[in-house]
Amino acid sequence: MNDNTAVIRMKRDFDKFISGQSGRLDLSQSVGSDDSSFMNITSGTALSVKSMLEKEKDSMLKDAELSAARGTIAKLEAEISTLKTSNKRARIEFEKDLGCFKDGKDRESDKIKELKSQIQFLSSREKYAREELEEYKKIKDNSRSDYETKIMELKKGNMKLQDEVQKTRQTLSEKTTEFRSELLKSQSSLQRNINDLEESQTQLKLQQRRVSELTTEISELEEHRTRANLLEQQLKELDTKCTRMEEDTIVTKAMKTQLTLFPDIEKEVKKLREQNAQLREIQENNMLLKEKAESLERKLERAEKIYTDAAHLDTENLALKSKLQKWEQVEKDGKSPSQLAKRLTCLQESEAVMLERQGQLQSRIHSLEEHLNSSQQKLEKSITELQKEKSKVEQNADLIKRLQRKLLFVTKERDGFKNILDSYESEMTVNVAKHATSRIQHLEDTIDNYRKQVDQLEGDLQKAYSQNGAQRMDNPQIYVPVVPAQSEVDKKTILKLRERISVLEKEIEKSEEQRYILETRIEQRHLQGDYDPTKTKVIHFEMNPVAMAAKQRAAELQRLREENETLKERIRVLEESGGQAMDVTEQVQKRLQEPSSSKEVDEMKAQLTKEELKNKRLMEAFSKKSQEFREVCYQLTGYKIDFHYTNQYKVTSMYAESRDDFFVFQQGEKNDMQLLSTDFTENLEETIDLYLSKHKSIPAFLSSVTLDLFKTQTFKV
Amino acid sequence: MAATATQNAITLKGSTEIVSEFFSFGINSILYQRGIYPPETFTRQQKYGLTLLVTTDDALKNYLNEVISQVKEWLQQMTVKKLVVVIKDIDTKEVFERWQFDVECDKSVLSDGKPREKSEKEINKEICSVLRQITASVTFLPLLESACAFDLLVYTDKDLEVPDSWGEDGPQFIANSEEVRLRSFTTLLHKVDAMVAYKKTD
Repeated sequence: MNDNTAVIRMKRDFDKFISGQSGRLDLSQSVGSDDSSFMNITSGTALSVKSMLEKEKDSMLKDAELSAARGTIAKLEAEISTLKTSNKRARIEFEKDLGCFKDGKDRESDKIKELKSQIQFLSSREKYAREELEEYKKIKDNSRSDYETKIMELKKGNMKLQDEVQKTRQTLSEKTTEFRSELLKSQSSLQRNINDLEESQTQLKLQQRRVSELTTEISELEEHRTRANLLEQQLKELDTKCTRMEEDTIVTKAMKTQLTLFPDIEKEVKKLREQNAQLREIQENNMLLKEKAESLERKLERAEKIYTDAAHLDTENLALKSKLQKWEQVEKDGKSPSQLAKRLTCLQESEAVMLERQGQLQSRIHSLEEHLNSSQQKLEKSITELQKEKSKVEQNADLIKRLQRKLLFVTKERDGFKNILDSYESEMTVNVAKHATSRIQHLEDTIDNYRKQVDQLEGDLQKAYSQNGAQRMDNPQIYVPVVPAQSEVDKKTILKLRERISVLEKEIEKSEEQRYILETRIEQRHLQGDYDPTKTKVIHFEMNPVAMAAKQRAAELQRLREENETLKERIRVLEESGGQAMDVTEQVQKRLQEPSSSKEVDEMKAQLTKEELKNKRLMEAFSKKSQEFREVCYQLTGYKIDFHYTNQYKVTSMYAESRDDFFVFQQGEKNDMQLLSTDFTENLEETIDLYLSKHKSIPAFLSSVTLDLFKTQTFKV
Repeated sequence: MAATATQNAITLKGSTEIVSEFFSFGINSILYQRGIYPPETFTRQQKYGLTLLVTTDDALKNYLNEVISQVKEWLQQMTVKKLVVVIKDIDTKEVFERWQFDVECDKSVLSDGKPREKSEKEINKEICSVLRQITASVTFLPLLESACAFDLLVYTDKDLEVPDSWGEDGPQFIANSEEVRLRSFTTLLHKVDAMVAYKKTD
């Protein structure tokens, strides 16, 4: 319905519009013929609605086109303006170009002119050149004719020359033949000459040979000369020899005369030899005779001895005879030979007795002598012993001195040892080596001292000996009795000193042993790597192999533990599933992640115990604190509150007359307190009514009760 | 003549070089002989007229180089008193062996700086005999049955400043030990006495 009215309205509006528009459209008639035709169509079709609609459409289109055209016009105008400007610009440029071109053209025309002038110049030159050329051609022709004539002449000359050449050749050949013959001649002469030369050479050689021969001859001659000289010398020698020979001949003559004497001499020799043999025999005889003479002389000596003996015997005989005569005279004195014989026997007996006596005496003498000898020996012995004793005493005296000194040293040493031992004991580890060295030095000092002492003593000893010897020589008797008096005292002291020495020596040995032990111990400690911590320190590189190995070990251990854990779990899984479990590893992983694993359990347990401990401590603290709190409450309010049963509280007053006087309150569900009846409440019904039933105030009730009790108590007091 | 003259003089630096080189070879020999590291990780090397075994293990090499270079510095300062190779059980940390090298320094060289007269050949001969003894000592040392590792201890002066990578440690004594003194050598500047202490076997 609305649409219909709208269409109608639109038609009317359009009609109005058309009627209004017609005047305006006249202006557009001048624009183009198309517009005018368009106008005619619109006016023609304005009657029908369709035509109207079409018109409307068309007009709309036209409008659109118009506006579009206007746009295009504007655009075109703008374009035109731009084109104009561009045109102007182009024109200006063109003009510029034109100017340029004009200039170029002028230049070109100038150039052309120049070129034309050049062409003219060149043409003139060409003409001139052509003329020259013709001239040259003429000259050339002339010269050619001349040359041809010359050539002809030359050819003729040539011919002539060839003839001449042939002639000359002929002459030359002749000459050559001549020359050849000459050459041959000369060659022959040359050969001759050569032959001559050879001959002369041979002659020369011969001459040379001769010369050489001559030289050799000369040398030979020289040799001969020398020989001649030699021969002359020999001759001289021979002359001398001859003279000698002559002399010799004289000698030989003399000799020959002598030789004549030779047989005589031989005879003489024979004679002499014979004589010689005879003489030898005589000599031998002589020897024999001499021996005989000697034996005879011996015999003679013997005979002479016998003779002298005989004389002696005669004298003896005479003496004996005289003796006999005397004896005979004695016999004649009156005694018979028997008496004589008796007397003789008596005498013989007495003689025997005497002999016996003599024997006895002699034996006695012997025994006495022996006794003497023995006593003398004893004496000597005792003397030597005495001397020995003396020397001993001296030695002992020296010994005493020495020992006393030694003692001093030993005591010193002992003190040193003691010190060292003390130091060892006090400082076993520290500076032991130092002590040892100091000790060694000390010992060395003492040894030096000993040596000195020994030297001194030896000197003293020698002196003493020499003195002693001198003294003994002076007064040997005085020296002897002094000895025993000294010796007894000395012996005692010596003994004492010896004992002491032995003791000290033992001590020294002990301390030496100790020292040795300590030294070995020090050495051992040193070998074991001991050190002085005050002076040195031990360092090592921190990333050393041991540390690394330990770290690796620890890591490996950790890894193995983990592996062990998984394997254990695996076994458990397998056991649980009866060996048929699928995806065992997965399950194991799951299980390991679960807190049921023993490790986590352990951890949890540890945590639990920790927590429990904490809790316990807290509880303790709390109970302590609550105790305090309750105490404080009791002190402040005068009531002691204890748990009676669950949700029931026993309240006891500070001023209660007996232990049984207490209230029991029960806590209800809504935190309200209710007083339960006890023996104590039965006496307090008034106050209960007043405070609890009416005012429902427990604190007031309790305070009234405390006041009452306090009053009764104070009254009692 | 000049060449031989210089060879016979031992300077502090040269002495340090000789001693530290000896330490290197000595430690390597001990490690090989005592089987602290597997024998296939060692390679042969000619030195002092002997065939010595030297490790090829890189970690060990680095460690030894680190320690030896530091010890070299201290040798030059003459502050080293001992170098000890301690062999101990990895698990129980019980010390089985101590190879001790005492170093005696002639400190007068620090003031006068004069080189000492001794031929290198002679020193090498002495070192050779020490190394031979180390090798031979395997015959009397007890067998190391458990897994062992080693540590190097250095005894130095108390007041010496040490790098952070070094730490103080104990002397690592062996309880109930037996000791054997080995040979020694001297460069006239440093005297090195070798000895070994080991746990007595029952």
